Amino acid sequence: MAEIETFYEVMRRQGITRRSFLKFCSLTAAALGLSPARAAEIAAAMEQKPRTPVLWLHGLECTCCSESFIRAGHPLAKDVVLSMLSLDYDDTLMASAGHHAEAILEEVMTKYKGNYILAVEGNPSLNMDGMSCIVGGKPFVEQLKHVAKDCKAIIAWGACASWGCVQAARPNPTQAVPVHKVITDKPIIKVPGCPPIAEVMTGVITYMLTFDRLPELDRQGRPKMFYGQRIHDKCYRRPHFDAGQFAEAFDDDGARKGYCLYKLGCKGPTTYNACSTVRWNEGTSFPIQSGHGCIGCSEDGFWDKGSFYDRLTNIQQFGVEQNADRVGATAAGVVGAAVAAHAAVSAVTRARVKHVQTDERREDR
Amino acid sequence: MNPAVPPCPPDPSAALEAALTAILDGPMRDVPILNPQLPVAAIGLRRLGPAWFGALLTPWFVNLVLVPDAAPAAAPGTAAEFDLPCGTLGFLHARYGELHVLCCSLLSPVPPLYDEAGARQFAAAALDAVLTPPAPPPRAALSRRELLCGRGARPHE
Repeated sequence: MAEIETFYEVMRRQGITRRSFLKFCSLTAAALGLSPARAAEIAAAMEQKPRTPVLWLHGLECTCCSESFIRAGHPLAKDVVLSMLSLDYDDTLMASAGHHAEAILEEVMTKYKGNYILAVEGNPSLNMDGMSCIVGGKPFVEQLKHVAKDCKAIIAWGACASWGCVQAARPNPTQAVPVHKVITDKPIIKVPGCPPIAEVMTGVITYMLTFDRLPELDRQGRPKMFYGQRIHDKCYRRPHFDAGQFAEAFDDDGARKGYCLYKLGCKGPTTYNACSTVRWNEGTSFPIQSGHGCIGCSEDGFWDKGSFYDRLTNIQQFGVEQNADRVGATAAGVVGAAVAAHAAVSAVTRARVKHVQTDERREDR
Repeated sequence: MNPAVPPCPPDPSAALEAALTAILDGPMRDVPILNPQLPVAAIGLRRLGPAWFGALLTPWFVNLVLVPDAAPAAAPGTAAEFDLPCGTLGFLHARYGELHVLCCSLLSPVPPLYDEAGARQFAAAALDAVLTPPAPPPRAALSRRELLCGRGARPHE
């Protein structure tokens, strides 16, 4: 492995111009909801600080998180961030294989003891001593525990690592469990979604690498900057919901007019994610925009919540969000004035605009 | 209110309530994610630039609402941003019946923990939060120079 170098050095070695680098910093600041002034802070950190190695492990998963990640909208996001990762260990993307690859893992763990970030894609299975997922001749759960032992923090990529996803759906024959059920003594940042949005993934990892701290998390361990609002809150079809205009079938007049997909099973009202604001494929679209309801892939246990086409019928599950950390009922079963006021201020804060400059991102290609 | 733009249209509260009551009695009638404790109510509408601004409470949402004096041509779902005292808020063009409005979602669905009083308090507090500028960053204690030159004066610039 190369000697300690900065992000900027990695980037320059790849032939990326300084102008392009500064643009990346301002885009990242915008995507993270930081003020433009913080772009300079990101640039300074990337120029001066030695890079933090990231080890990327794969358990039971489908690699959709990696697929999403390497398609991040801004070309620099994948070039810079990916070069910081793949230089170390990612069994899908790295060049080395076999014993050499496993040796790199040990080398990074020793050299950067207590100072590397562990990114986990997929989850461990516990059935039959973890024999349902073998990496390098050993159960993945053992590799996970071994590498997590000396890491600084863990990023749980996707619904698998965060909640369990399809392999943990009933009856869960392999006893797949999310990362936090196995590793209990390290900070875990959950970045759920199947897969998560590329810009969300690069945003989270860039924040951690540049500021050397965890992003602010909600009570479930998700970064508030990307998981603070429901799809429904910012959905462009929302005015049709408010006006009672629903598509009743996928080929009816309402569907053609772009009406709300609630009656076709859209899970937007219960799903926390940034799809309706950041969108996908460089901000091009997202499932609802292409005519299909949200399936709620970033929510805990979404495979076990019935058909994707069942209508949401129960609003008992909705708590009162005073802020992202406190959701709760009151003893009386109704909200009082103080709780209502807190919830209102929090709702207004969430409704404020974060500028993600999609046009600039395109212009830079 | 801008005195250069007479006459200002009447308060649209009653028209908004009528339009949403018609929606409640029509297509929303059998939707299961309503909060039946809540009425349809326009809350705290006031003039803000060339528009009426306030909150809208129904059994299925609490929104901020802007009713511009001139009906906008944009299709429902088109985004728009407005600089309000609390900062920039994102709105979406919408049509409630015949009314062209811009809405900004605060709460939907409305959890059953909100009864009518709670939801009205929520809406009123949200309006207060939107119309109150954020607190300025804390200032350092008054220095001798500031005391002598007047607070905030920068004699060297």
